[in-house]
Amino acid sequence: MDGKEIFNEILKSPKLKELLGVPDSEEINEDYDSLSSRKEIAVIKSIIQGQIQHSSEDAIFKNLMKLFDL
Amino acid sequence: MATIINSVAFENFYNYYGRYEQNEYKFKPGINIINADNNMGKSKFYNAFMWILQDQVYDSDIKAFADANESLTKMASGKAKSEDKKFKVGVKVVFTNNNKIYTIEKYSNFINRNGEITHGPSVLEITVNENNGDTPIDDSTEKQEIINRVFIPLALRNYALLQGESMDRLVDLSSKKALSDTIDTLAGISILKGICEISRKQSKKADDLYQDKDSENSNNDTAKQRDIKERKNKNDLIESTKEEIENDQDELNAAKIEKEELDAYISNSSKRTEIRGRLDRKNLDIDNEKNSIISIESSITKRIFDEDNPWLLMGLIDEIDVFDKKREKHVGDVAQMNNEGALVIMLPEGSPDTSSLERMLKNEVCEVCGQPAAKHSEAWEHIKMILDRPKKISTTRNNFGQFYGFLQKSASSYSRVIPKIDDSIEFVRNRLDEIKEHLEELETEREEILVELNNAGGNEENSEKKDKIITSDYGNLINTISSKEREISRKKKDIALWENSLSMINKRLNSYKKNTETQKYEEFALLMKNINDVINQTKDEIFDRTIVALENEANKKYEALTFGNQSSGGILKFERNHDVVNVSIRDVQNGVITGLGTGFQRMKQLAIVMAVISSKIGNEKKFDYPFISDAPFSEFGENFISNFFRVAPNVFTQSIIMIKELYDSNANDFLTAFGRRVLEDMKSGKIPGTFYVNVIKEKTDTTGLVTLHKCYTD
Repeated sequence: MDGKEIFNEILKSPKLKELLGVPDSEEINEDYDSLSSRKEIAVIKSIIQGQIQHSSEDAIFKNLMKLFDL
Repeated sequence: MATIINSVAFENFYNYYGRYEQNEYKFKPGINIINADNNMGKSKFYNAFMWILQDQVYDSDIKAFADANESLTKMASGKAKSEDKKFKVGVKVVFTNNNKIYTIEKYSNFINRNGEITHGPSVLEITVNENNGDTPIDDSTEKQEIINRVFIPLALRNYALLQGESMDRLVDLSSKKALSDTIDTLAGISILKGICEISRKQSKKADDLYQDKDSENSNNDTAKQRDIKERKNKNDLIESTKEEIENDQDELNAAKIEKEELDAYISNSSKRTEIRGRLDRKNLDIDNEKNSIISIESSITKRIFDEDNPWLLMGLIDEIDVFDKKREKHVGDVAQMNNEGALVIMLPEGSPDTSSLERMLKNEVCEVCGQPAAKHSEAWEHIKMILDRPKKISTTRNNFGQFYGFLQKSASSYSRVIPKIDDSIEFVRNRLDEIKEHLEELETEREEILVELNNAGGNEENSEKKDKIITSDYGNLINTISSKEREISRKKKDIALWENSLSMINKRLNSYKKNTETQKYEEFALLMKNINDVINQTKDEIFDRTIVALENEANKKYEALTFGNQSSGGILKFERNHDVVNVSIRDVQNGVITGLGTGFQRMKQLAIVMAVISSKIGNEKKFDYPFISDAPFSEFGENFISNFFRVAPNVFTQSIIMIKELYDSNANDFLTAFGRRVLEDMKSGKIPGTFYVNVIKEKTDTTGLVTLHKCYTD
């Protein structure tokens, strides 16, 4: 199972759908390789990529903060 | 992500003499067979990968892996060393990964100066071709990154590279943890666990940061400060208790796994303890009976010479009279008393008396035979000796009459007991027979108990202590499990209370006015918390689906690989226990098959790995890296090899198999009948891949050995 597959699995999460306001019957239309305007999706990708690229915790956190202009 | 090896080429590498162009093997996705007899380059081929990946080569002289840098001279072709002045010893591998084409070359330059061969250090060169442009990689760290993370990642090498005995270590079926680790690695669960861990830590960091900012911006508000402090305390308490629960959960899981492992033994263990109790009692009974026998047997010796009733006299009741008569006769025969009661020596009846003897001496003639007996002749001296014989015994008189009389008297006292000896012997013999018969019964019962003990997995000598330890360990584990479950439950209740109180605090804090900056941090922390919840929930869902998929797919593959085998390998059972996947192998009645480490052959180990790989969650249910095997397939038999070629393309994106089981040196095409069938399947497209056969044209010593190859699937 690689990062993309894990990402696709996370997209199936009912809780994520609830957060994004997507009805349960619909799929979240996002792609692992494309940029997303949704912060939630960007955060998930940053975490997955951080793990796959063996980035340090601080480096991942900096990336996440950038997403929130912090 | 998948690595596909496009080609492997050798230059003067062992018996691959000549330039890269002459020794190039082009590979495809699917199965790539290199069929070669012994000493035709199979292990050398494998060594090419070992040199690139691990700077090692398998040295067949010492039957172990050796440092390649110390073995460069051995790695050089014997023919090149004897014929060429300057030459290169190298390996070149071209592979594709993620639309990039990588060329890895490892080599060393050799010089032969009048028979003295020297070489430079081994050199690693890597170029990457992307969008038709070659980029050489100069940085040594980056080169290693490509080898260790792109070509064949370190964590997967145990499964990607199989050589000889290493297959035995492929899956440690005797250890659940080892098997779980294999599943984690191969099914990609370890990545998922890593993502969860990162998510949890990042969420915590975001919350800490928000609370710090909130605190910084509320210095003048005492009530808020108090609530912030309390929230921090509660959060710390919840966090540390959650960590404690995680640790408790780990300990609980470890205890449960251990208990489950002991479950298979424990029922038998208590049974064995009970059986051993019976065995001990039986051994005691046997010892007692044996001692009785020894005691009776030793009493027999005593009874033979017993003073009151000596068995020695058995049947001698009439012998006393016979003895007496014989005594009397003997005494009468050999001894006679004179008037004084002295014993005299008697001459035979008709012998000459004293006066006759005196006359014979005087007349010098023997009157018995009528022959002359001149004075002092031998005959005269003999007559004189008879005349002069002692008439009276000079020693103490030996009263045999008294002696034999005493014997007779003593023996007479036994005349009353001798008739009872038979009965006495009979009694002892019956008692002895009785005990021996009982002993036989006891020994038969003991044998039955031993069989029972063996059936319960024990033996007489070595496992009593182990059983007692197991029983004791099992008891401890049950205590640990129940105490950990109680602790976890208590801590969860505590957390629920604290979270309730935290929610009240947060409500109060939310009522305070926040500045814009603090709100941004709050939004950040909240989103991170929600994403952490999503990821953890997904992990649980993936985990659950993984278990189902693993069990279904793994059993299908397992069955396919062992299809046609005489013995059943059992059924793979996958169960989730917290974050650990437990695997057991069960028989048809769902009983756990134990003793797996020794009981399972290599074939089954490989089958399990293939099964686990092919049951991955995700679209691509294949092993993404080349599977390179120089393992002895002969042990598996034609059935498994056939199954393997059929199933492997669905499991491994690409495999490179060095094999000799399809080679026949006497056939024109160097193929066995089975080899031809495999080749036909490849040509017809049933098995995707390539089929190479190595040949040696001239049989010679190592200085002239040259391996050539033919591709049968061009």
